[in-house]
Amino acid sequence: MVDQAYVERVAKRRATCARLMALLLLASGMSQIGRLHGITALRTVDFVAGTVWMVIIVIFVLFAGGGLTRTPQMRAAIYDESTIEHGRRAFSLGFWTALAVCAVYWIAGLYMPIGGPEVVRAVTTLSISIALFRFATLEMKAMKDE
Amino acid sequence: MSEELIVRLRDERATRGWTQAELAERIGVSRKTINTIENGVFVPSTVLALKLAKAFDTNVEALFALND
Repeated sequence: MVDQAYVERVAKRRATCARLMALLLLASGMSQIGRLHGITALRTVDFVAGTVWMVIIVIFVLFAGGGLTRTPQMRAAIYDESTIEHGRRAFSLGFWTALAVCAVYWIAGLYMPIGGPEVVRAVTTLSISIALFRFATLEMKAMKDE
Repeated sequence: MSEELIVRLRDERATRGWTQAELAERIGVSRKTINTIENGVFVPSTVLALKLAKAFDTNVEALFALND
């Protein structure tokens, strides 16, 4: 049998980690783009956000998303159909965000010079963080009481 | 033509006096999956629909129907 309270706790932790990762990725990405425009004061933000992001990934893998020590039944309940569906929807939104940001930069590039690193950072930062936010929101909404 | 999925899961569950967590435990999914199915947010796969039917000892049509 699967402990439903435990499954719920893991899902909540996973959604919280996803939100934090999205926030930190946004902070890091924005500060990196700021530095490309000569705003060096954001270097500390970038360093702190980058470091904490890596720590959260480790926490995520060990306590929320990994599950190497869990039974197959527990893993199946944690990564069940609704979770996979939420991941699919989040990835889809991330994909469309990436396309939209590319389109915005393509149009902006017609009127001003824009560097490749800025575009890459903006596309990756926005698409990944929006996908993470979307996943967390869908998961939290699904867990709301019956 | 729009087809609406009618989900009778909540009624069936209430008849048996099961909580969402109890039903989730019986078929090996999380409570949020049952919650999203009952709220019509998520349409389960055929496999999951069959598992639900088996848990209630009924057929899939008793739990899900199309309103067209």
